[in-house]
Amino acid sequence: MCDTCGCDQPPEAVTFRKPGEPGHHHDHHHDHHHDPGHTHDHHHHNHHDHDHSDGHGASRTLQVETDILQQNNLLAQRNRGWFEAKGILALNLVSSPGSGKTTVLERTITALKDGMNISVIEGDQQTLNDADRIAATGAPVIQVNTGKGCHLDARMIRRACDELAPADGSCLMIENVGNLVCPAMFDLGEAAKVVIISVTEGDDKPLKYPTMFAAADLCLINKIDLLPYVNFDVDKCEQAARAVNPRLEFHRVSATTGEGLEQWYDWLKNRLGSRRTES
Amino acid sequence: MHEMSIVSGILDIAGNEARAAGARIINSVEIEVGELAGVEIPSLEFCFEVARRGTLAETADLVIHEIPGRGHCPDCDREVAMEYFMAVCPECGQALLEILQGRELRVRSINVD
Repeated sequence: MCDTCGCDQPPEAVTFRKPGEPGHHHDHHHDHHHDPGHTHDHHHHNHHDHDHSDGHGASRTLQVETDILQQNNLLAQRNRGWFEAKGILALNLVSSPGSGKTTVLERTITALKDGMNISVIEGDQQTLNDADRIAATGAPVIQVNTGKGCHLDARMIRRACDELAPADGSCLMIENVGNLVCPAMFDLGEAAKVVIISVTEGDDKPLKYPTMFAAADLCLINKIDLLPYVNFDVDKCEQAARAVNPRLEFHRVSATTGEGLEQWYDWLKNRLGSRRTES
Repeated sequence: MHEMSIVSGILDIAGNEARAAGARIINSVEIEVGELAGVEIPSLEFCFEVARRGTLAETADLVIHEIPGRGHCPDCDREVAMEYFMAVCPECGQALLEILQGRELRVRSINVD
């Protein structure tokens, strides 16, 4: 078993690919051979199962007191330090599937092309589709396919950054797997989580999935051009999200028409500006 | 289904501890899961049943201690139960609650032979 990297699956199930590069790029360096003390149970059947004769009656309780997410959290902190040292603003974009993360990114990259260096890590279970869309904008991108995994983890981000090599002082957008539950648990080392909800979803979603809204810094309410056609109360949605996270900021946007995106661009510029000053 | 990742983490920690202590079999694993940790207990139990196969914990029991969520209100200085993330104190309706407990996700101990 790996540590908390999302796999009940063999490590080669997680792939890292760039658009235009031939074939699969398997994660051969992944996990299993590196960590000192991290060994497998392959020898298990040689000494388990049957002969318990000299083991019985000697049960011991060992105090462990170890955080289950410790391994991921340590790697995430290492990523965070690396981003800070290079003045990179890393953002973890989370949402349900279909809320418009990729469209927001396409539009943002195109609009800020001249003033901001943006690169992208795309997370999906399968396909290179989203990375292809980002590549069409001209931004550097790498696709992480998690196989059966439902979230990105800190180790995947480390590997993806090794390949992607984001520039000093740039903005790194990490588009997580579409899922409002699991990605909330896994720190990637990002500076902030940006949660995206679209008006074609329920306006009580922040109450249904509070963990993600509690962990985010900014909420983009997307597809507002569709408001005349759907039963979505934007104020009620913001109120619900504030009930779990009163510090949450909101921008009401349409990635299709461009409405409201200026304030999101300003937010990005401010965050990146202060990140550069820190480093 | 991040519970499978959590279970992988549990089995890693338990396995490493057991091997370091020269143990040959893990009889039980005691964990703490906070009410606000975002983990479904039935799902965790199901994943443990599946994932323990082929590990030192193949026949181990999973003992789960659920830690209730508790918050503290800095305004009225009261402690209140938190079943979910609440921004506002239910007693005085004013302050933001500080989480005192409920986010735990820890391996407490293992019993080995």
